[in-house]
Amino acid sequence: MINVVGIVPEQHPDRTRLFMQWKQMNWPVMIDPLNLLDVEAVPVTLLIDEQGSILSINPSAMDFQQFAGLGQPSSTVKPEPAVKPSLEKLAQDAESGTAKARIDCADGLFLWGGEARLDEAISWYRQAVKSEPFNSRAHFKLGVALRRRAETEKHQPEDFAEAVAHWRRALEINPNQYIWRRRIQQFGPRLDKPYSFYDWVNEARKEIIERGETPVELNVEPSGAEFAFPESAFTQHPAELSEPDPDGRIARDQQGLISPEVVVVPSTGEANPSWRVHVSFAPNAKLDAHWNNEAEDTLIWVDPPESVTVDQRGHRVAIPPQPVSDETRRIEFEVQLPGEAADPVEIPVYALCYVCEGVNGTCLYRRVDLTAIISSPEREAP
Amino acid sequence: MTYSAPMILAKGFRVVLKTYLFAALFGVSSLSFSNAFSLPFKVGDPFPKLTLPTLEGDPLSVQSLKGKKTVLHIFASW
Repeated sequence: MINVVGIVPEQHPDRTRLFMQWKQMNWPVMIDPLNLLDVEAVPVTLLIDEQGSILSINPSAMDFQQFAGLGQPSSTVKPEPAVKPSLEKLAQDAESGTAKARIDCADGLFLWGGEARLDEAISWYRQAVKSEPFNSRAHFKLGVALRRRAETEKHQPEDFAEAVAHWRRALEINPNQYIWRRRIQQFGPRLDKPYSFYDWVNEARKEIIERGETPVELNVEPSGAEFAFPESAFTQHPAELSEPDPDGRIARDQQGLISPEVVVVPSTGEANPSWRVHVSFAPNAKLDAHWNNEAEDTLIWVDPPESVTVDQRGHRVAIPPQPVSDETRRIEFEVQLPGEAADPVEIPVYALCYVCEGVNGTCLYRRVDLTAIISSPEREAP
Repeated sequence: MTYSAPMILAKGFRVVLKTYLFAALFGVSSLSFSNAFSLPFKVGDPFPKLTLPTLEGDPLSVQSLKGKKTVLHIFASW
């Protein structure tokens, strides 16, 4: 008898569940989004004996065959039960003040405490980073937790941007950690991608459905950056529309009915730098604002300075079928700068959308402006 | 909970073997690993004591699998 077990250090381990359903892999998988195992790259395969010792790392086919054929299960070695850590005990230890205790507590809260304990985990990571600013693992983990919160209803405006900043700081301290590098590249520009991270998702769903099964649902759908394929040269795409408000005549959203957010993810390397800009617009829940979907799509225009190249200027976000909705609307675009560009470079972006005040309030056609700021890495360190 | 049903393991083992060999030979997308990267463990070491949640949310550790041989595949779906 041989146990077969996986460990996945992905930000979204639930995507592995879909991958395994697709590949009909049904062995247990442990999730390690914080990379507690501390591997620098994947895949790594280990052969482990009955006592729990490592016999082989990245074995050859011959090693596999020998391992499969050797010996019988040991009745003298007793398994040790796997037990969830006591979050209360971890919290008590964290109060004692060492950075390690704070990080251990945050790890436990993140892995075992669910969304309800996410804010606490972030708070402990923040304290750890503050007391040990060169602790690269703490920076990485804080980024993981912030990105997780960015995908929940507890989302704070700067979560994703901060996550990227902490991942970058972690990688700056330890540039050999490819798990961390991949985490940034997952959301970064095409020129910096080693491969498409989640291009397999649609193919997997199609094949699973063709087998007569229902694909497992993902907690968070991959974004454009996560589907995007790498490219070797910066490519510009035709705009989906001409500039919709060239003279700036559409009334601005003075009430703040729409909350815009912009996050800039740079390349992880210095060669051929580019930036992927994530822009989102959400109705302001505090004002009970919502989209009106009875008219036309949300139009978004990127208006870079003359010397700055973007891959696409005009974007269209299709409206959903229901008459009103409150989803976050997102676009992404990429930026390349000339060598002599000012620092920072400001790229204006605006959206034109139909938004309503309150449940029975007036619906308005409004323009929302924001600025994407592209800075050199030295100015962005958290 | 048991993970030792022979049919499941035989299939799982084949998949690991196939995935591993395919990755090693053809460099599939998730193949970031090369011997240039250092690992936090070496042959002969006990596997680190680490309890993690499974995809189903249950606690699991390599130590809880002692008594049987284990193939551990650390991978990502990308």
